[in-house]
Amino acid sequence: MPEQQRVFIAGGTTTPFDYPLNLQIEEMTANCIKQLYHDVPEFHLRDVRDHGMVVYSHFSVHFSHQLTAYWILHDHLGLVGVPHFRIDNGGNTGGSALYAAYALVRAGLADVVPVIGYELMGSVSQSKGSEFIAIASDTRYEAMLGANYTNYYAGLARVFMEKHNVTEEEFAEIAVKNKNNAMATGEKTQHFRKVGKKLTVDDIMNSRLIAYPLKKFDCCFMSEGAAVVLVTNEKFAKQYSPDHSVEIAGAGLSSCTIRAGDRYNFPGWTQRYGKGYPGLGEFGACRHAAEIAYKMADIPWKDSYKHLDVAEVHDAFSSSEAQIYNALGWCESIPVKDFINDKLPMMEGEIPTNPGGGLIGYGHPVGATGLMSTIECYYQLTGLIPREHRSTENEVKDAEVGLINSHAGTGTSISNFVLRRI
Amino acid sequence: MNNMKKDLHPTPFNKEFRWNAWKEIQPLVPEQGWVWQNVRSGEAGGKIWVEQQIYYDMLYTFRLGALSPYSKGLLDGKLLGTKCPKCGDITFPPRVNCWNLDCDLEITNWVEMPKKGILHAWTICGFSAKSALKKLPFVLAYVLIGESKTAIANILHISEPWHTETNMPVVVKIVPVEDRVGNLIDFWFEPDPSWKPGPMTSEKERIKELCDPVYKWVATLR
Repeated sequence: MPEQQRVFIAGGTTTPFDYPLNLQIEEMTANCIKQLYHDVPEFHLRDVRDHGMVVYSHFSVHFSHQLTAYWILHDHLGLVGVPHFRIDNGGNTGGSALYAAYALVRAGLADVVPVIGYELMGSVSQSKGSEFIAIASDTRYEAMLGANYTNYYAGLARVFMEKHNVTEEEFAEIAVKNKNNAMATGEKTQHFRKVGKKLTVDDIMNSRLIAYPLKKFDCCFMSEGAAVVLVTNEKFAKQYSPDHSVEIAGAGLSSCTIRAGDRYNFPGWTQRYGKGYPGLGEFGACRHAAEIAYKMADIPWKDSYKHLDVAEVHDAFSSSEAQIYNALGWCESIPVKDFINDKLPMMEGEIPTNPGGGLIGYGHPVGATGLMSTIECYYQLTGLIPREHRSTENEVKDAEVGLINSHAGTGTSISNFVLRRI
Repeated sequence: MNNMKKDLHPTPFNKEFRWNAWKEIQPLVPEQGWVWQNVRSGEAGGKIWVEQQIYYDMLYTFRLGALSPYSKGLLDGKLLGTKCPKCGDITFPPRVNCWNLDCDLEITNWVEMPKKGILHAWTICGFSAKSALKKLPFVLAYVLIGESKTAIANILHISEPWHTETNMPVVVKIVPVEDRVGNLIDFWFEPDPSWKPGPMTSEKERIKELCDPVYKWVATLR
């Protein structure tokens, strides 16, 4: 029987994220692997052939106009006879693919597992694209209304506002933070490529209504792009990146209902957390996944942010980032409103969140998104920001412990990981 | 475990259904598969590029199976939810097996729901999927119907959307019989006639201001 192993990240890179990106999936992926050959010279796909597997991270076959698109990628990379499979878990596809790679290495079934994520979303009109994403909601009861995910999230955000006394402006502060952080990350980010300047709270507040309380600039945009994260055991991490590896110290994955309306009285939640939780305003799966990851990494639940130096979270909407602060246990001693106003998640704060730009700043090509978050967190923990970013304005100096969060549906599947510098 | 009652949803043979009627829809929505439409090319960044447009049609058939009574209920102008005979939990939308692990996936019973409820969560949409653009700005609401332990999403018709309030009582309205399709779009919510909106607040003013350009934009559509 194979033996349990510790799991590491020894490298990672993304293509630029843009909409459209005007590239085919095999060139995006080949670019990422060749960039890894440059950044991590000791790594080679021959090691994957001899000691590994590949996990592909891809959300929608509707967008790719191709079933099993990863079959194209696998042999394009020169791989035959190497096990491969694809993970799709909505917006949490990237986080779930990372979880699968973690599980494979942890179980000792593989030693080198590149996680390769990609999404083409510009293959259809933007409104058709919104519909494609909306069919991840329950098509019998939700999608038929002509609503889309922004509409659902806005309803959740309004509940959260009422419960925690949070304002539109406070959500806007989060959007500004992430857009402006992306300017420092540079030309790989969609905000840099498309808008190319810093924004203000007024810019967010004056942008068009999408669904109250969310305006255009509170939302991530449709994107295309690819990303690769190199997951390995200890031996390969030391061989590839003796000075630039992080350990996956905690990994949590959890689930909630597909329909947000089913979260008041679900027996499984009532038994775990008591009546009424999570309701529509909270992310129960995020809380649960965080509890698991923190426990593995020996981080207490209460004020957990004090034990973390940096976080990359799934800010599909500015409001969801605020909801995530709460679901990660960061607001047990300080109300989420003050957490924002006291600038704790800003670059100068105690837990800089989405310094890379997040989905709002960097982009959200679904299958690549959670991997992008992982890579940005990895760069922070390994001191690679000066090499990777346009400026060091968004560098978290001497960061040792980081959190990554990936999020699907209206909170239907969520993963959290704790990464630790070694 | 072996003495547990095996109470499954039935799986009838195909010959028991009457498929032929569907053929009437096919001339209206012809399926041609992959259809070449267009190609163009140019040069960018010193490299040639080519774009192709391909149209691929598809007509989905939703076979509702055990959920059919819900759909048939709407055709008959009724809201049907489900109730677990073991734990008594009522849900609307329906769940044809109980969600409580302790009830061993017990098959639920159909119960008629009252056409009224309490609005629990809402948003005012200023943008939507293409099919709903002309209805903007509309209110997306999650409503607890009767004693349901789940809330159902649908549209709230209200003349001044900014007056939408959490916990307001609403009633369910059903489209005329000839327009019914056995789907969620067969019904909508309206404020209960006894309900009167509270005074304007700063949030209501803000929403009203955000809606103004949406009304103007929708007026320019087609």
